[in-house]
Amino acid sequence: MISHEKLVDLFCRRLEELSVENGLNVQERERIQTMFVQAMKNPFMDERRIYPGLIGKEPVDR
Amino acid sequence: MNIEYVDLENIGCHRHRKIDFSDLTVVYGENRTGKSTLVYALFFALFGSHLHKSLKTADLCRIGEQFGTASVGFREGKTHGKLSRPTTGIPLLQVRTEADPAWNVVSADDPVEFRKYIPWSADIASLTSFFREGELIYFLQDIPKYDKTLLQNMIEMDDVLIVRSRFNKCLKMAREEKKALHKAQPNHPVSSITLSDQQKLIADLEKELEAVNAEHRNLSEYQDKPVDPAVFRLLKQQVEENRKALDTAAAKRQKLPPVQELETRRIELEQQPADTETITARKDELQRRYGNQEHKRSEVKTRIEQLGRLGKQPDCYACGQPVSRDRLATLTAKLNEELKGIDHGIRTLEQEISNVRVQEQHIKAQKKELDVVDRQLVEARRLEEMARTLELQGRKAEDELNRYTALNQMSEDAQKRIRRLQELGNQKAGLEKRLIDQKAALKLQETALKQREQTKAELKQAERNVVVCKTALDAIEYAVQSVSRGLMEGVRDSIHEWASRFTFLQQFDIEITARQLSPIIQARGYQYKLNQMSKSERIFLYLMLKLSMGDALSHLGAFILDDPADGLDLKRKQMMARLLTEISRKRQIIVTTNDTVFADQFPAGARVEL
Repeated sequence: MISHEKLVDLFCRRLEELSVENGLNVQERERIQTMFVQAMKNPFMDERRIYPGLIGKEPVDR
Repeated sequence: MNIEYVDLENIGCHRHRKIDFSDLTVVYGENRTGKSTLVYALFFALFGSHLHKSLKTADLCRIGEQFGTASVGFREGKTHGKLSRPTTGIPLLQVRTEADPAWNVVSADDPVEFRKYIPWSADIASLTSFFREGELIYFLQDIPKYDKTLLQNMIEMDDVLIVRSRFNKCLKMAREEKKALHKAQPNHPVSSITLSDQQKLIADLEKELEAVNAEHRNLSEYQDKPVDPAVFRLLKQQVEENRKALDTAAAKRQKLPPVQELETRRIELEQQPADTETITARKDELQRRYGNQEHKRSEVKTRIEQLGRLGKQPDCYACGQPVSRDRLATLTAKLNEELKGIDHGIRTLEQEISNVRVQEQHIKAQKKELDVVDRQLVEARRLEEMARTLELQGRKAEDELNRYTALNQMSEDAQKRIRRLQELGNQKAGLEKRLIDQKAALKLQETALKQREQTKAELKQAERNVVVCKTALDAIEYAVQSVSRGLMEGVRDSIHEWASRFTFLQQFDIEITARQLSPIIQARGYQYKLNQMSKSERIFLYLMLKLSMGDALSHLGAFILDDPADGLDLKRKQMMARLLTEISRKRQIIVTTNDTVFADQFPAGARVEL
């Protein structure tokens, strides 16, 4: 992707705003961020792996 | 970046070739002289991949050679660099600055350091700094593919769009889980009685039951027994049956002699001599003697007869002597006398035998009588015993009957007590049943409540999961839109700037759609589609879009075009040359062509021949 860093940066900034709006805690926000970064890096990471990580059913590798 | 030179070793048709570049360089060469190879080699030297994505870097290598090397010299501000990249192996980047004129090697293993000098990705560079005619085929497509905007198509946002799609699926999964939990919630209505009300009800019931039990215990102490008509009837029936049986036994008993009499008779019979063996032996003896006497009598008779016959003959037939008549008479008389004696003895014996037989019959009759007496005695005793038992039972039954009869006539209080006891018993049973039912209902309600709480917690978590997934998706959406929007705005602004230079396109009113990088091309009140434009118009438009996107995204600072004038007429070639010359004031231009007319449109100093 041509603007990976910019995209991640925009994502993280917006995530922080939305986390406050939606009342997410720090762990939830970090989980989302980690899963997004991992999903961007790993093209084989599909929704069946992303979802448990997002909702905290499976520990997320940081 | 300003590309100063490219040095090729065993690349394509070039064994060894070094070409220096200025701000505007026109590389002229006939077909198969390595113009496109030069463009590919430049791209490979900078980014390590083939500009034509379907080809491998090994395809750049000169035929028959193991590997080739493409080196590029560049300048970025006051920094000079040279990057040498073999088709197989590790690239070598060396830089020097005015402050440090010695060449310093930048480790290829340190991507961060490497990106300080080559900060662009191959994709972005391919989009914004290289022009190939083949790309136009794609540009002809009016409708963006796979629901992507044209810009997204061009800048290849596939990765993030795939990730966005996966996060969207995650949101769907979270919503489905929530929906499933909603459905799984127990749908039976909650009882109007609250848990505490139910507990209070149970406590009241227990209290009531305790009161009933206490009263029941108190009344039970009186030991009044209630009259059961069924028992009364049964007892009456029993007494009657008993009486009947007793009468029958008495009647039977009356038919038999009294036991005392029977016992006396039995003793009498037993005391009578009954020596059967002696009698039998006596009888045998008498019969034997009777037989002997019979035999003797027969012999005597035979002798008498012989004597009689002998008397009729003159001589003895045995000895032949003459027979004496007297002697015969004497003998005959003697024998007759003896015969009389024998007959008498036989009569005596017959008398005795007869006596013995009478005795025998007497004994038999005695025995028979004894048996009868025995049987009668047993029967009489059995009947007496039965009568006694029946009498006893009858008395008991009568007593019981009398008691029941008496109970029937008991006091009013006792009867009231009994009735109350019965009522209490019924009440107790009813209360116990209600208590059990209430406890079961309470337990059921507690379980349901617990389950409801659990489902509620799960539902809450599911809702939270939806919020998390939605937040993630919104953030991605925002990032994608921001990137797209930012780029779009950049591109739109840049287009306005470049449009003034692209005089050829001035007849068109080109705008960019709000959401997509789709040009709205209007002229003379008519809206064109991309493929309604002529090839030359599309080439100019595409070139303008590339330059605009380069401004919006980023670009090398150089624009490398591979034969852009192919298929243009003289007028358009001149226009293209003028345009590129003008662009070269802002960006370095490297253009290849095999068209002498086109090449001649540029200043003479810009030309490099292959």
